[in-house]
Amino acid sequence: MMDVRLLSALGAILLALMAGSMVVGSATVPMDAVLAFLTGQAEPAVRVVLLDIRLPRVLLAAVVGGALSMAGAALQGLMRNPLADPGIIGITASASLGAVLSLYLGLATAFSLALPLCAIAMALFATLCMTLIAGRDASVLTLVLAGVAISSFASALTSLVINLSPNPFALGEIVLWLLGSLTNRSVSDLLLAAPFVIAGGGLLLLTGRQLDALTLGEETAATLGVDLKRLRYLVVFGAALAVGASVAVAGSVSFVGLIVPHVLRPFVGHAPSRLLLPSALGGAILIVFADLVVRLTPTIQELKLGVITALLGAPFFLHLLWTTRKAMR
Amino acid sequence: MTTVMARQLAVVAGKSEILSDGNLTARAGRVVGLIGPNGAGKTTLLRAILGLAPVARGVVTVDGVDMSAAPAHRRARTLAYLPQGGVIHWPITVERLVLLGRLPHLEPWASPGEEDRRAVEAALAAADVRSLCVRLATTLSGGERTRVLLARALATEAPVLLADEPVAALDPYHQLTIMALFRRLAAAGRAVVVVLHDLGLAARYCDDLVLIAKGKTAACGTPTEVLTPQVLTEVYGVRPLSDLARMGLELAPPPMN
Repeated sequence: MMDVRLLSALGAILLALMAGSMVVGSATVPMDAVLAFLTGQAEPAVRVVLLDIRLPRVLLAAVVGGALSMAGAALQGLMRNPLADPGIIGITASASLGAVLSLYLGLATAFSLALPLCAIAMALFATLCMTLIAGRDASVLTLVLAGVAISSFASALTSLVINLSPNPFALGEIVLWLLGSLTNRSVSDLLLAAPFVIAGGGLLLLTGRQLDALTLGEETAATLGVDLKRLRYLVVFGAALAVGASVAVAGSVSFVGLIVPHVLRPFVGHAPSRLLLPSALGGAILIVFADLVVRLTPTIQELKLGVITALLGAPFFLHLLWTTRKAMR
Repeated sequence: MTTVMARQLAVVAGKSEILSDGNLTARAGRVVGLIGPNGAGKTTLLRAILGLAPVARGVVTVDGVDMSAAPAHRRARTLAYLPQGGVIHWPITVERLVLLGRLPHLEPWASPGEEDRRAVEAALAAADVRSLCVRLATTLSGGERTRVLLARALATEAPVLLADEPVAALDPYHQLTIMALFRRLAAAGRAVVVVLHDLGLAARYCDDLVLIAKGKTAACGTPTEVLTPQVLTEVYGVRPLSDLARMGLELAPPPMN
């Protein structure tokens, strides 16, 4: 019962925020023009602003936020650690590497879909590497350490690419992309990311009950009939699909998967299964809101979304580390 | 009447055989004490029976059915496990924790039904933790925690309960309460296997003892048959000060050389 109420509250907030995001921006579209658009009687200019510029951006913000946050919630359930995040198992860093490589090699300019495809491919490749390193019966510790190794290696390679980049224009593009942003995203970005995010989210939703059983530890969960290997694959592949696609279209947007599940956890009685859907909605709210802040802040250079979430997230991470260290054993 | 039999179980870890000949029989209505020195292979034997440790040789049967071929949920409905120093990772309520024991009975998308509620209720009552229902499982004391985790194991309604050192970290009062609880569970028709270090408790509360030493079942039988002065000296390196049959077990370290 509580879940239905929480989900509808989050859904209502999300819809209101998205509607608000449609109205405000660098060109003001009055409310009656939006209403006219909804009834199909808008001027062409208004149509373009709303349909081709704002709607894809707002929807993409929701998709990216939902993907990152739900992946975070599932990974935290798998690792029984509130500090786990898509960043932890190296998905974000690897996806970034894929995207940066496509920019460096000029694939992205030759073929616009190359950027997202490379990011998704690297995210999947990293996940496969990890399952090989972690082996068949990996403990959570091995999984985390493998993630750290992959993450560092991907970051090192990204630095190498930036280091070797001969073309200052490409370099600028890479650095801006690494900051994470939703500026100038189109319907095609949305169509590319959304199917992967939905597929990944679907895999993650299959894991709820087994994640609950993990509350009792891996061995007890296994004696309750949970197939640990299958569970690990589901979470890792689901997260790779969702996060890889998100990073591909939005760059590195960090800490969303950390903040949102943590804030929502008390509302669902700390049960991992009940956290998945609310986290997706909460993540969507956070990113739609953060992107609104980015668009409304009157700076000469537009603020980058990834910068905002990192500024919010890093102190939060420290706070979480501090309280977790005190609370846990 | 459920009977669990483990015959000549062997478990290999790396290159060494940590269990080479594990044998155990547990019958409905009886409490079996699994005893032996540290590192003898007691936990490994339990884990092999549960299918958690890969079995290199030997067989586990429940009522004659080979458990290695049984599907996971079938095994989960047959064997309940109370691991040593059980962990609780999230601060969920006691009721929700105990409900996790119903997992082997739930269809993939079904929510818990009337039968599940009844089983949880019965488990809470049997472990005497009904009053803790709304508490957060991470805020319990050691004794409460053991009983709550036991209730979780009972909620599976499995006819066999395997408990690994459930009383190791408890004070004497809680040790006796938990052991009495095992006796009640056996009286209600369950087969109970409990790993114990306290030989006094083992002698007092168990119907049968299985002694593991160096990866092998060294002796099994009633407490008086197993806990002979000779076995105690050979396996544990201690000598009995009193006669078990008449006045319980009082142990002393071996004389200094």
